[in-house]
Amino acid sequence: MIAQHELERRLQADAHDLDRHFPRADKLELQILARVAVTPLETRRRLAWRQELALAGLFVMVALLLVVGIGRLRALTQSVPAHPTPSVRSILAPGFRELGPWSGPYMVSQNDGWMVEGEPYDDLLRTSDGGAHWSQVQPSIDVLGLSQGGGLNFYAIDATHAWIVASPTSTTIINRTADGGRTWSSVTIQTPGHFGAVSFVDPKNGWLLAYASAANMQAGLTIGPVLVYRTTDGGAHWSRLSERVIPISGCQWNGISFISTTTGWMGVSCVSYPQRTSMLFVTHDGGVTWRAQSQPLGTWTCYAGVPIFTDETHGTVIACDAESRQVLLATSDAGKTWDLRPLPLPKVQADFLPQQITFSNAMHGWALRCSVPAGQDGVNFQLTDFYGTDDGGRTWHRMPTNLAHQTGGSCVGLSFLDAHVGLAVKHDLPPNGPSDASRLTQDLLKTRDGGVTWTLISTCDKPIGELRCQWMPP
Amino acid sequence: MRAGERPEARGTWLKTDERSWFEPLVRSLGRPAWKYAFILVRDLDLAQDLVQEAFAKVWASANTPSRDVEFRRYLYRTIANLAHNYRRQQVMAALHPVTAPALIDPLDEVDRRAADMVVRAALRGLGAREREAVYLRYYEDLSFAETARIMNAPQVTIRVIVHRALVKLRRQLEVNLSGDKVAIP
Repeated sequence: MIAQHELERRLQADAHDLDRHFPRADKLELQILARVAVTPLETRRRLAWRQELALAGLFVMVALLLVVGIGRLRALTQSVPAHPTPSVRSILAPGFRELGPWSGPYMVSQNDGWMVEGEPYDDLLRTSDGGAHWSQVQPSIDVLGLSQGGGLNFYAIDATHAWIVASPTSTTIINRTADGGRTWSSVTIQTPGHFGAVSFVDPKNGWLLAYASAANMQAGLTIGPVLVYRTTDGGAHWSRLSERVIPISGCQWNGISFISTTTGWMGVSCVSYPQRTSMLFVTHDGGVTWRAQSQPLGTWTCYAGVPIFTDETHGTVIACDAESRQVLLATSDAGKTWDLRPLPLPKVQADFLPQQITFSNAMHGWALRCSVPAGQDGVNFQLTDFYGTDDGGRTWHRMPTNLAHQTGGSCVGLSFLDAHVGLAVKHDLPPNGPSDASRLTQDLLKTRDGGVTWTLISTCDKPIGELRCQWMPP
Repeated sequence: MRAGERPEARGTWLKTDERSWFEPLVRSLGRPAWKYAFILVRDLDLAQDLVQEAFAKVWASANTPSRDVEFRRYLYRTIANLAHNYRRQQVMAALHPVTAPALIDPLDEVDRRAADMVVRAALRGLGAREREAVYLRYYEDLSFAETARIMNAPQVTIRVIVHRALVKLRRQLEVNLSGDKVAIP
């Protein structure tokens, strides 16, 4: 068996050999310089002094508007001392069911569930037997409108109704199914920028968060002012909610979620203002008007996700406080007030770590701590600790579990249907740990005792180089 | 003006004969860029053409960054885009084939002289993005963050690509290892 370090040693040795044997580039450098000498530069036109003056005036105006905007934003929020800015991309936004390698299964009943798999453009899977068998229900990339690339967002509310929203360019394509993914319909709407997130409260009523400018999405930055679109017919028709753009620049919108046709939230994290701030925006008129909601963290936090509700009144938001500690905001009055509760997770780091926090009801929740072992690279995130709470996140205890043993120590995507039944997906990691390269597998594990004992219920072998695999009972 | 600093970065207008900032970059990045292009297209001559084209493009572009690190990032992205265009043209050409004389594959020549031919052969079996990521990570010894910037993708995506590539490489090397063994009757 070739170990990781041995492979890396051979790659580095080959890099050395390549460098040693690769031809000298003296001639090439001369050719490049000769080529450059005859290459015309892109035209740069000197502005007339009047134009320069007008441009300077414009800059002053923009600066003044910026100062006024910052003042208004600060007036909306409470001020606390500044501190260093950590990454706001370190935490996966809950409820923002982004297609990615760490997406967990999403069970809507004991038997029915959805799962997004792999990197973007991989599979959307559906089970109707509690997770033993999964079938591919995703429309083709052409139908999705992603032949030219772009983002993807998935949302399901029950066993039959789901939406896949794609945004290849400055259009947004909403694909919807009402029969569990057997057939899909799509509608395209023109949006100024890329979409950000989607949320539905029933088969008819949904909202779409779109960035107000395509320029804001350059280099993958999900920042800038946003627009909200609304549907009342399941996604066949969309209308923009007023002409008012929520006018905050330099901020990352972490998703949108509604608990009724009138009340919803958006989580926003701002890093490019003079000081960082994160907040929840709330609407009580179906998304037409929004205001910053006060919560116990104040405003100078590093992250605010969107609320995930487990019933009509109880919900949680992942956030992090002024010291970059990951914390929980919990509500038991449908989001009118929020309590601050701890999370047994490390401080937000600059690097990506797939933390999983999930609640099945108002009381029962689970938190997974994953880490990259010292001295190792790659995506072999290791499951470090598994925590549970039975008092709504007020206290957490480390759980005795065989999950790490069952996954060979690998981290998982996690979800719970109730206090007892949960599913965990181990993505794309070799079966016997990072050093085993004999095959590439994904495993689905199930617990019926709240996370203590996990058993393998389905597995899939993915041939090297193939995107898809067949989930089958072991 | 310091080497590597573009004239317009100092508020002056770029003159057509002003090349003093550019030459040191050609000297320092010409060969690494050639190697990078070679790994992408697996053809020494073609790689040379791509590198020339890329340097010409970044020279002409008004958006070329001035700092050395960003310049390299910009140059590498340009090379990757040109290589991608080339591969696309190859696919189109394959759809409409024309008779062409047989050419000696320069890659074979380099491979012949390389010490670890097995690793090189396994590298050739990777997809373009995987090969690009592995090269930047292990051959240029770049961090995941810098590799992600050059490849214009999120860091986690690059980690996944590299991880998958390493799994493929290990598997390929395992196959070769077992293929080298001879059963003793």
